Amino acid sequence: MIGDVRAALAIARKDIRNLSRYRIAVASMAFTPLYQFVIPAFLFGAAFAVNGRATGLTATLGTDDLTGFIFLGGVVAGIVSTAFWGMAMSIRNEMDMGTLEPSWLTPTSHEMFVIGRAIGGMLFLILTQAALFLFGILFMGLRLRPEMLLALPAVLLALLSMVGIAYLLAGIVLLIREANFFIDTANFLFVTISGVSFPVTLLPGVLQPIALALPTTYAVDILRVQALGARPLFGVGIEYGLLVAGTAIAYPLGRWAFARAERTMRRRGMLSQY
Amino acid sequence: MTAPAVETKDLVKVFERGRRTIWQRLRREPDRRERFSAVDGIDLRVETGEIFGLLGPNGAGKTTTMKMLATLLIPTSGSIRVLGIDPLERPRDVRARLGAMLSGERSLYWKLTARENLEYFAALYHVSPNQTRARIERALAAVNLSDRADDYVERYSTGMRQRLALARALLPDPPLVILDEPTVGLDPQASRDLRDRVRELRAQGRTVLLTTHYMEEADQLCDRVAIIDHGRIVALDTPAALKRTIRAEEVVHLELGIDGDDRTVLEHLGRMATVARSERTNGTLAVTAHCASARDFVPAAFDAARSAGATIRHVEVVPVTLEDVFLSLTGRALRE
Repeated sequence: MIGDVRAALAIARKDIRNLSRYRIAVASMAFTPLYQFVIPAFLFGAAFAVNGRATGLTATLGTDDLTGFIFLGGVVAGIVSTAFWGMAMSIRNEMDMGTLEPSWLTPTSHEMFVIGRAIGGMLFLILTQAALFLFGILFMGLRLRPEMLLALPAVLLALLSMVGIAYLLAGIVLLIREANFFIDTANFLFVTISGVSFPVTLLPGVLQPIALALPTTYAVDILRVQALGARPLFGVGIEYGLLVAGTAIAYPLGRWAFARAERTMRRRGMLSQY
Repeated sequence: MTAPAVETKDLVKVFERGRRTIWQRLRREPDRRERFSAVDGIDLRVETGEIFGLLGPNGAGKTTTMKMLATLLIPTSGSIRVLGIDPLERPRDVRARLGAMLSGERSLYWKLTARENLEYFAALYHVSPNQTRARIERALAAVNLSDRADDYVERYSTGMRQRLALARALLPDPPLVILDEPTVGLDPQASRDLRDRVRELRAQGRTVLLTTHYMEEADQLCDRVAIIDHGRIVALDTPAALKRTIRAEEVVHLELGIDGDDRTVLEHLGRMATVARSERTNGTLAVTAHCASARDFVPAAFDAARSAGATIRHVEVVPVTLEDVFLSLTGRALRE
């Protein structure tokens, strides 16, 4: 057990070391969400503002703080992206590079390769979010309320549930050929349906039950309630309950799927097919 | 009696070719995928402290066997014991005692230094922190890379990367080391160097199981060799004993120019030696013959060729190698 924990920390350290040798890639981790999500969403919202006030947002959510709405959505988008790309897809990338096989030849539990990446990914997430918030405060009028810290348990729970989903995704991407396309599409859908860039109540009817089944929907909602005073979907207490339930399902389900995928790979000899 | 380092009984691995779609599964259509046995009933016993080689052409089943021993593949049937442990029941225990080098230079992080690579893998091998530094220094020294330990792996030559992969395999201080084609892609000097390292592993009391399709490597390095073809072991013994099985002292390669039918000349040659292989390409006939004495056979071969209307263009006399053993057992060359 202690050996596995040390191994998970070593995986995180290795990822950070490895990534730090690609400085432009590190910089792009902070800037990509800015130009792909934050700025377009902000400009789009500003275009529909009346006298500088996001009246539509006020009517839907009870807050007109468009900047806060977008930046807090960005936190959850960052968590989702870390799970999809940083935890799940990076295992597939290691398989394609040829480094997964020697790692799996060691006595470390294979689950640690997801956990280790979650630790490394979380560190990068904190750094990129700090850079984004700094940009928001300096150039976009972002105001942060200390009450947003009250939403920290929701963020941590969302992170835990996303580790479970990362297990599931890692199991899928290790088995399929078009892993990149799958992760890209699934990440986009997951982020969109979670209500990161607009309220989930605006989603088409068929998508709303899916949105309500995702733990990230409640994490972003609680975050906005605490930080912006927005109207919650159901009430914070109920949403915490749903978030805990979602995490309790996602985590063991993900581990089970990962173990199944690993066994399939060992049966079919897929580990070194790169 | 000491327990063997590796023991397999009737080991089989069957793979499916092609894909079965989700739609086919949902409709419960019969599985029409073609099946082939990569390993087809291998019985193996590798004794502690020996260098044991699996020699065979590409696709013979060597790597598949290694991967089953290393817990990366689940066998279709049969049993395996690695250091007395069943890898199916206790895979992590096997991995903790096994040093493996299966995929060579690509298996390293090129943007990390050699030391950083080894620090990472030492943690994965659960080497305790107070032993890590000493283990890394020892592993680097064992492969002669101490002076380049802090260089990025991307600046290494292929041979250095192979040696670093071997150093990584030594991190858990394993009693058993398995090496899959350890010298493939290396220049002769680097190959020699790596073979020296492998001999040192035996001198340290470790068991080494390696695969190769280089007959010289198996001949020079291995205490015993299993010749494997189409997933089966076709011969198993010491290199010297295997070479004795073809009952020839020398091997003669002939190249004959011939216009007509080659049956007569082959019949004549066959009376004086064992024709292990013959290959006709237009007007040229290449023959490999196993004989007791080239001094007697070659003049007789010239006479036989002349009487059959052929001319001998080239003669080469070489000592018997494991390649000849493989040829005599399968009718094919290792490189075919």
